[in-house]
Amino acid sequence: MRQAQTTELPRPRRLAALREPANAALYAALLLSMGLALFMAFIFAPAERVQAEVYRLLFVHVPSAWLAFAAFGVVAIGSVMFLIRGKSRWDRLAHASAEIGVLFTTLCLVTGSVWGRSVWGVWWQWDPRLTTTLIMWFIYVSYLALRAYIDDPNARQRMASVLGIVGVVSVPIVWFSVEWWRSLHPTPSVTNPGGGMPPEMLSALLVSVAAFTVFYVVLLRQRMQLELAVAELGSLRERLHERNEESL
Amino acid sequence: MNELLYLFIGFSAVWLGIFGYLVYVTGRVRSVRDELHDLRGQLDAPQAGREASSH
Repeated sequence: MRQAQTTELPRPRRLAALREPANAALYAALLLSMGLALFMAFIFAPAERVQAEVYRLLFVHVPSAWLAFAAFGVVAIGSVMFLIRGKSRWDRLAHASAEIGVLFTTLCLVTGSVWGRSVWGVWWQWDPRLTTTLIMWFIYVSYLALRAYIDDPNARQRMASVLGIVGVVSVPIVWFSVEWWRSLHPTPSVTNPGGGMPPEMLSALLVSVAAFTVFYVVLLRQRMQLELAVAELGSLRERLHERNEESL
Repeated sequence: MNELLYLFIGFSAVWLGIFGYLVYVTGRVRSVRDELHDLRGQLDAPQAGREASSH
């Protein structure tokens, strides 16, 4: 197993006192927001005139896409901060957020594909929005692969940071793809004035986005804890190894 | 009927994906912490640590 960074380890005792109540509050918020989001999506929001029930996939598809964009934005911020400050915690934040961003992009592609099968009759179309989203997904899978295959921690962090900054260019390309090119994909109906979404659907969508945001925070916290534990593990292994070398 | 099936597939994929990832990461955190606990034990007991790591 690769040796992790040995610097900037957390101060677990000081953080532990805050961790438990914060975790409990987060999980309570997660359950509440999820329950509310499901209620809004299936009961509060009315059926759509043309698509009837299947349009409700919007309530998981759109939040997945937005949270993927946000996650990749955090990757870029973490990468920039790492290159400026050189602190490993920024790199760990970028790594954790990239993995969650890939998860949300995957879910966005899957739900989009299921919706496409129902409405367009096909699972996939080489449409600008779908294609650019797939390219974005490949960029961040490459980011994770790059991190997995470079052993030297310094080189890994620097190269990943550069890719994390360059990769975020794909986010506006995906966003504007429906305006720049002719696309089958529906144009944004939330951010465009007069987008035509009824208030019940819009409020259900916003609650769903809020629930996914809480989910993102929970996942990011867990993933950061994993990064910190792995870093500490690497440090302890090094210490044990050094001590064994000395004793020989 | 097909519509409801697509709806079920889409929502199931999302919730299974997110909860599955959460369970996976939580499990990894737990196993790394267990390993940390073992290593700390080895570092705290020098002789025992040497014996364990020499295997």
